[in-house]
Amino acid sequence: MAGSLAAPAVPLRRRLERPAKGALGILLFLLAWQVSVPLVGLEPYFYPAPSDVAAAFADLVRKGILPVYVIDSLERYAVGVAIGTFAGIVLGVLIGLSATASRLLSPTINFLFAIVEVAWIPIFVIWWGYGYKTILIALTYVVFFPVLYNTLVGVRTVPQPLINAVRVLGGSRRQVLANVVLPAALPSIITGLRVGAGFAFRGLIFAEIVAAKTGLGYLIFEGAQTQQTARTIVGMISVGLLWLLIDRFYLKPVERATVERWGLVIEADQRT
Amino acid sequence: MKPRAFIGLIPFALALAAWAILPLVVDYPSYMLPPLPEVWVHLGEIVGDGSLAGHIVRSLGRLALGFMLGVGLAVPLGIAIALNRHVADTLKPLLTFLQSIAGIAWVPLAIIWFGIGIGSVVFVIANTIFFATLYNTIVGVQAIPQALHRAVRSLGGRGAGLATVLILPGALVQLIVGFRTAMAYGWRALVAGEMIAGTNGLGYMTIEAVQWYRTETVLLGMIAIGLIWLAMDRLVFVPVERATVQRWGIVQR
Amino acid sequence: MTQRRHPLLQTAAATLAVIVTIGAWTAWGRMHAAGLLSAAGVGAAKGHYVLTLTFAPEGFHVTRLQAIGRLIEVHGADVFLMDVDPVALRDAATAYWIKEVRPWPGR
Repeated sequence: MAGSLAAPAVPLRRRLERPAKGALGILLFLLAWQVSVPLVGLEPYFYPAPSDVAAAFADLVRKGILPVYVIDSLERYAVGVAIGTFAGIVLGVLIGLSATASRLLSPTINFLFAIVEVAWIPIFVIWWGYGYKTILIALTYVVFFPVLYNTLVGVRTVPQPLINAVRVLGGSRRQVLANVVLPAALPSIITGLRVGAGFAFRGLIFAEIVAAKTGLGYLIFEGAQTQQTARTIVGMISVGLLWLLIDRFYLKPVERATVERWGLVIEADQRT
Repeated sequence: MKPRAFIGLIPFALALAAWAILPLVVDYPSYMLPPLPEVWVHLGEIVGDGSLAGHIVRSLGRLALGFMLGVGLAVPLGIAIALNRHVADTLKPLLTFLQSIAGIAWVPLAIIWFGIGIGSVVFVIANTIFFATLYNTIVGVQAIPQALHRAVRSLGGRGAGLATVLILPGALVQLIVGFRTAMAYGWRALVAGEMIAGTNGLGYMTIEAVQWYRTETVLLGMIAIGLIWLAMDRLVFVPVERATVQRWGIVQR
Repeated sequence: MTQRRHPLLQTAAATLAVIVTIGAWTAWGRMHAAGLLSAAGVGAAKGHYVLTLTFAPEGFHVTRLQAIGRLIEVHGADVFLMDVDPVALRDAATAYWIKEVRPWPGR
């Protein structure tokens, strides 16, 4: 980036310049949107103004709907991601420690990973109906496979001489696992987590559109169904903000901590 | 193929065997998991009457259309934005935000704007790919070292010349690496869009069958979705990405 | 910027903020519910009640209130419920959009 010269002693004015410009961009966008509404002259359900969206937001908060939906969505997301990550790491390490098991199972894992979670939701609905269970299983699924895959890759790339060396020096299997294998695989695991967390968030919204009666996805869907389009947009904005916050306060710090402690994290974009 | 590669097929064989044996051992309604022969016969039907191929072709056509629309709009716009520091600084937070609204969340709004059908589905794919590509273009252009800019300018590069010599190649690695993620999201948006707003295509075929408890269609749809993505990813995106990274240098951000 | 802090401190701070917010909200809700229930003289037995909301209820609110008893009627911002379980009522009344709970002879 151009401003990478930025050393500790950047004047306050310079440091505030970028956020100020960014805020200006968002303000200009909202202004253009608001002004365009009377010019376009379409029905509010078709093209609501930012002021309508703000009113819908206030209404949804006043009626207690938005807080409940946000909490419902977050809870599903947190539980699904936690289960998926845990299961993915455990299974990835177990499989990864055995060369035969990795060869045996890798194609299956690749194939299951390729069936996007979105495609599983119909069969989940047949098996478990519409509701919490289906959503949770879909979320767990979508986090599980990238984490499993990347853990497997991470564990498999630990150089065997390293493991042998620790063993020769008297390290137990557990010590090898805790001090060699896991640290070496961690950057890869974090990559898997980032990928899975991103797909899971989209999966959550979709699952809530198809199979839920609460949550932000449902808000987006129901608003459109009942022609309360401003509510749909409130839902979309909430989804975007929520993702930015998750990324900013959870995924990025975890990634940065891993980089600082253990070295390079592969660009999250490069799943495989 | 080496015998080693074959052992990866064992779990698939076991799964198929379990599927075949399960109905004989456990009693469950057949709509939960239809017997293997039934699915096989159904596969023959939908391949035979060309309906599966029809859905696949339509889905892929939509993906291609959405991709071209998204990339075609995003790359020029991205370059234009990135060339001016002030414009880029002003628009970046807004674009980051718009990108973070998952493509799937646009589907209900798209239905209001374009109705049920191809318009909504293409809009959602194009939207997903547009924002991902736009962001990548800006990041890619801004990652070009200032020194190179000055060098090309001092050699007389201006306007279109500057763009073709420096900016496009400079941003290309970031762009192409970004394509793969963009397509992964685009593919999900396609399937999801077809499920909610489609009238045909693989996603529609799969979700429509749920209403009639035609589980064999659901299963075949899922498998098709998985196989097609694997094929696209391994045969197109991975080789392109590898070739680009090798040709143009290490990816860094 | 001169002192480098551990990145996960942000994560911890964010988590703490979420926990504190939800905790404070829950505590406020409990107090709110206790106030409403004692004003209505809700005992340990099932009873009939009218709940007045701060607005005319939507499907969202009706669904929630249906879960705590037999919903008889919705009239403006008033929701008439019979055979309401006091424990469920206490949970439901934590919502800030419930303005008043009154006993009701039933129908």
